[in-house]
Parts: sequence; structure tokens; C-alpha cells
Amino acid sequence: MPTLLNELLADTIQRSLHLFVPELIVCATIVVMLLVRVFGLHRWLPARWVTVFGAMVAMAWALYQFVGLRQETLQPAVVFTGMLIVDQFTVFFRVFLLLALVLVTALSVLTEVPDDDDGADFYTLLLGSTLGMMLMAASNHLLMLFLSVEMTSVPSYVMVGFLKGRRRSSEAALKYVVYGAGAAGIMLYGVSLLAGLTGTANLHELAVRIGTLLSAGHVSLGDPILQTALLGVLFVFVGLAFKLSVVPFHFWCPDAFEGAAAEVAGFLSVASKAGAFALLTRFVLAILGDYQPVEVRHVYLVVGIGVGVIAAVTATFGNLAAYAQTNMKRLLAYSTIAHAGYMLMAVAALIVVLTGTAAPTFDVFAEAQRAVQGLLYYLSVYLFMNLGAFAVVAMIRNRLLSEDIDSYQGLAREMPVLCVVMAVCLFSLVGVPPLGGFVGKFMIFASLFQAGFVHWSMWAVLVIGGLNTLFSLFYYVRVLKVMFLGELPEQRPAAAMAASGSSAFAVLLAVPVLLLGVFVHRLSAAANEVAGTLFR
Amino acid sequence: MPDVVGHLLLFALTGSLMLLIPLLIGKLIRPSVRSPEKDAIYECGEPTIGSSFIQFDLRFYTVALLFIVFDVEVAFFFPWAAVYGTAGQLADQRVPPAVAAQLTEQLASLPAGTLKPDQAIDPQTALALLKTGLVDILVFFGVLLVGFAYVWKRGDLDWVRSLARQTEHRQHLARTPTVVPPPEATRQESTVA
Repeated sequence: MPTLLNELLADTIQRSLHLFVPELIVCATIVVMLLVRVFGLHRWLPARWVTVFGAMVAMAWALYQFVGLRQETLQPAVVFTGMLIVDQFTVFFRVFLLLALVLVTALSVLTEVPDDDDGADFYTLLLGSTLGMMLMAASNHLLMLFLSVEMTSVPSYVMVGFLKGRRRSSEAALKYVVYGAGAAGIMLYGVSLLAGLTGTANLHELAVRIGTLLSAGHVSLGDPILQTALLGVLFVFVGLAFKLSVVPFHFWCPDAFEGAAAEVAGFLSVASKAGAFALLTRFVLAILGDYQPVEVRHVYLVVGIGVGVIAAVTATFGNLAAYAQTNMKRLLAYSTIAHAGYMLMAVAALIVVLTGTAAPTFDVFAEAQRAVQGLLYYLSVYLFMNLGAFAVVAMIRNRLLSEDIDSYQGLAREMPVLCVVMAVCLFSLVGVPPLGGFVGKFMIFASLFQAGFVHWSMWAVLVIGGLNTLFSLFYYVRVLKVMFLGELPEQRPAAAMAASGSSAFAVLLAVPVLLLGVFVHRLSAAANEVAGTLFR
Repeated sequence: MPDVVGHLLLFALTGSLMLLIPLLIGKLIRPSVRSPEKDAIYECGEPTIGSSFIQFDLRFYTVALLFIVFDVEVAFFFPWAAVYGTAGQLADQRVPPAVAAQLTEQLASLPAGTLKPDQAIDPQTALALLKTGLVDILVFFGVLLVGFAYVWKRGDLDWVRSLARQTEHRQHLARTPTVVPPPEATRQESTVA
């Protein structure tokens, strides 16, 4: 008994806290920011600078951890008695999410979305939500899976409704809350089914336990154990699909994005998606495990094909619905849905590759690794291109006080830099060759092609994905046509000039999009290595 | 099992009887004088005003919010207090080993009598647990208090005036003969008032 207690203390104090430092820094930043406000120092030290500083320090620490893990001076470990796992995958997402946080904070400083009075409120929510996403990527326990999703969602609801006194904004937040609460309830039910069935909530043990339960008898779909397990998995998928805004759980997305400030919408579309994809990957791998009986693998293959079909439907729906939009933020919301579809294709490929029985020459784990690698690369490019598009929308909003596409007529003559940045981001979203979006899409499509050797349906998904890329070109280009070829109207509403750094910031976001399209190797090698840690 | 069922039945039966008997006695001996007042809706002895389907004042949500914050906090305190108290007793050198074993069982939620006296947590370990627990709760409570102080300082806990009263207040401010105050000062004044 004393040894157990001592081990618990040692596990917490000596091992876990040390690996948990980036999250702790984020927590400390929140507390410091509130203290600054309480003591009335916010006139000398505004909340935004505290946030930027805290996020930078946390990111530096996470980078140090990433390098340490790579050079093996730091060992990956399961911390806090199995609640979280810290490996290269976790740390990759820590860096990613903190970078997104820094960029969004910089953007909101430039576009002045929260005023000085509300700054501390807004940045507390932003930091809290980022903290939840970081925990999402590190989850190793069903309870952490649920808690981290909620920890991300609750601040997001408030951020969506942050523009006080605006009907649309409040409506968006309410829709988001109601939908989120429903999805969370369903996910919790799924978690309870899985935990009750297997007697463990530890993600590492799930697959083995399910396998043991099933191997006792002949596996068929009529088996109540398999039914319960599948129901549990399905319900957890529902909760994650809500976060990813995947069809048929996407209804909240356009409304929430339209009502929220463009900065918040950008943050949600990039960071929240990344966290949810990290969690989905972890959950999928936990369910599949290393080895399963052939019959069970057939069942999971069907699950994988189902995910592929949903991904294809999501991408198609997002792209078709984006055509009719007149509001730029709504258009980008539907584009976000479509991109969630593309990225979900990588997950589908991952499941299919891992569950299928293919030719012996087929290297299962190398292909699975490549699918995750594609997902990571796509997410990295997506961070810059989507945030870039939202940033330009926010900056144009400050000038025109409008987010309608029609009001963008001839804007290229007035704000050439912003419009070129928008063009780069939108072409990258389409996936036009010299840009980063092309490489990401290519990687995902390549792993879909490989998964097609396991089951032909992945080739169908691939074809649909390719066609979608073509469709999406038209509505993105429509925006650019209005911007570049439209006539500049005589009368513009007078508005405050944009902050001096905003064009520079937009360019800063567009440059990585270009670079990631040309210098592929460094990031793809890193992504490959990170993905590899999942299959050791 | 039948023992428990019997107890429950007896309890339910007694409960029902204790309720029914006074009602029966009342029915038998009370005088029957009917009047419209007796059928009226009861509202704390006052004459009723309007329907009970009214809009509830949203301002009460601050009270509800405060209640939730402190209620959840107390809920988190409770398991901590249980562990902390037991650990505190265990840290005492004078506790005899048999009692220490009992306390250890309590702490680890083990059935009574499963541990031998030499398996009990020794005072040093208990002291370490005690210290960790204290630091834990101080951090938790500290963070909570910072949030509370922030909300208080911002004036979010102030009772929001009704719209009519707000206008009145503003007019009152406007009538006060002062130099035109800078916006910052007005804001602070209104939160103080």
C-alpha cells in the first residue's frame, strides 16, 4: 500500500508534470491574465500581449519536447496513471495548436475584435479551448476523450456568441450549444457502452478486451457483444463527427461560422478540426488494435468503408452547398465541411488498410503510416491556407463592414495584397499544383489508391474526391472573379483604415502555403516520423 | 432479501397510514362551511395578483451562476476532505498500528479487515500525501478565487438595473453639474453606483 502511494506521487510529480509543461504554461497564462486585470494593470499590460507571450513560451517548450523526442533524449510516456499519452504525435499537435493560437491571437490584435475591456474574457476562452484541444490529441482514456471534447466545446460556444447584442451571433451560439449538447450526450452513451462492455476505459486495452470477448464464440453480426461494441463505437463517432462537422452532423457549422467573428470561425475551422482528427485517429487505432480475428476484421472493414462513404458524401455536400452562398463566411464554412470530408478520407483509408486482408506483398503498417502522414500534412497546410482566407475576410470586413461576396467588387484595385493572398489561399484550397493544398490532397488520394487494393470501394471514394476537387474550383474562382474583374463601385462606406501590419500578416500566412507546395520533403518526413510512432 | 422487502412494505404501509388517519379524522370532525375564499389560490396569505404564468426575471441568473460555481467547488472539496482527514490521522505517530490499518482501509476503499497492521500506511508517507493534498487544494481553490475576483472586479456580479431604472440613473448623472467626465471615469462610476 505505501509503495502504491509512493508510486502514484512519483508518477505525478516526477514524470507526468514534467511532460505536461506546455499545458501548464497555458493554464498559468490564463491565471496571470486574470490577475493582471484584477489588479488593474491591463492598461500597461493588455491581455493580448499576455496571451501571445504565454502561447509563445508554451510553443517553444513544445518544440523543445518535439526535438527531444526525435533525438530520444526524452522518452514517450503514458502519464497521469494512464489518462494521457505523451509521444511525438501528441507533441506534434501541441506545436500545431499553439501555433494556431499564436496566429489567431495576432490576427485578433490586428483586426481588434475584442476591445481592451473584453480582451481578458476573449483570450481566456481562446486559451481554454486550445487547452482542451491539446488534451484531445493526448487522450489515452475514454473519460479524457469525453472531457477534452467538452473542454474544447464549451469555450467555443461562448466565443461564437462573443459579439454581444447581435442577433445572428446569439442565434449561432444557441444552435451550436444545443447541437453540441446532444452530440456530447450521445458520445457519453457510447463511452459508457464501451467501458461497460470491456471493463476498462483505457484506450490501449480496448482492442484486446473486445478481441477476447469475441473470440469466445463464433463472431456474427447477431452477436450481442459485437452489436454493443459497434454501437459504442458508432456513438463515439457521432460525437467526433459533430466536432468535425461531417455530414449528417454539419448543420451547426454554416450558422455558427456566419454568426461568429471571422477570427473565431477561422480558429474553430482549423484548430478544433485538428484536435478532433488527432482524437479520431487515436480512437480508431485503439479500436482496431494490433491483431483481431479475421471475422472481426471483416466487420471493421465495413466500418471503414462506411467512413469512406460518409467522407465522400461530406465532401460532395460541402462543395455543392457552397455554390449558392452569397456570404463569404458561409461559403468558407461549407468549404470547411468539404475539407473535413477530404481529411476523413485519409481516416477511411487508414481503417481499410489496417483491417483488410490483402496480398502478402502489401505492407500494411507502411501504408497505414502513409495515410496518417497525409492527414498530418494536409492539416498543416490547412492551418495556413484556411486561416489565411479567414484572416483576409476579417481584414476586408474592417474596411467594407461587409462579408457579402457582392461587396467585394473590384477590391483588387484597392487592396491588391490582400486579394492576392486570398487568391493563393483559395487556389490552395482547391489543390492547384504549385501550392501546399495540392501536396496534401495528393498524399491523401495516394493512400486512398493504395487502400483500393484492399477493397475496391476506396477507388470509388477516390474518384468522387477527384471530381469534388474539380467542382470546388468553380465557386472559389467565382469569389476571385468578383474581386479581380469586378468594377470598383463609386461609393464605398468610409471605414477605419486597416492596421498597418495586416497586409504583412496576410502575406506571412500565404508564404508557408507556397513553401509547403514546393519544399515538401522536410514536413512530409517529419509527418511520416510522427505517424510512425503510432504503429510501433 | 425477504427481510428487506418486509421492512420496505412495513415502512410504506406505516407512511400511508400516518398520512391517511389525520385526513380521515379531519374529514369526520371539521365543520363544512364553504366560501369562495377557501377555493382561491393561496399565495402566502396575500391576495393573488394575476396569473402564475409570468416572465421570470433573467437577472436572477447571476445568483444561479454563483450558486453553481460554489456548489461544484464544494462537491470537489468533499472527496478531498475525506482523504485529507484520514491522511492527517495516519500522519500522527501515536496512532496504534491496528487503527492505522483500519484508516488505510478507509482511505483505499477496501473492505474492513483485509489489511494486517503492518500493511498500514506509515506516517512519513501519510505526511507526504497530506502535503501533496494541501498543495493540490490550494492551487485548485486559488485558481477558482482568481476567476471569482476577476468577475467581481469587472462588475459582472452587480445587480443589473431594469431598463427604466437605467435611464433614470443616466438622467440623474446628466443632471449632476460636473465637468464632462472622460469615458473611463463614467464607466467606473456606474459600476460603483
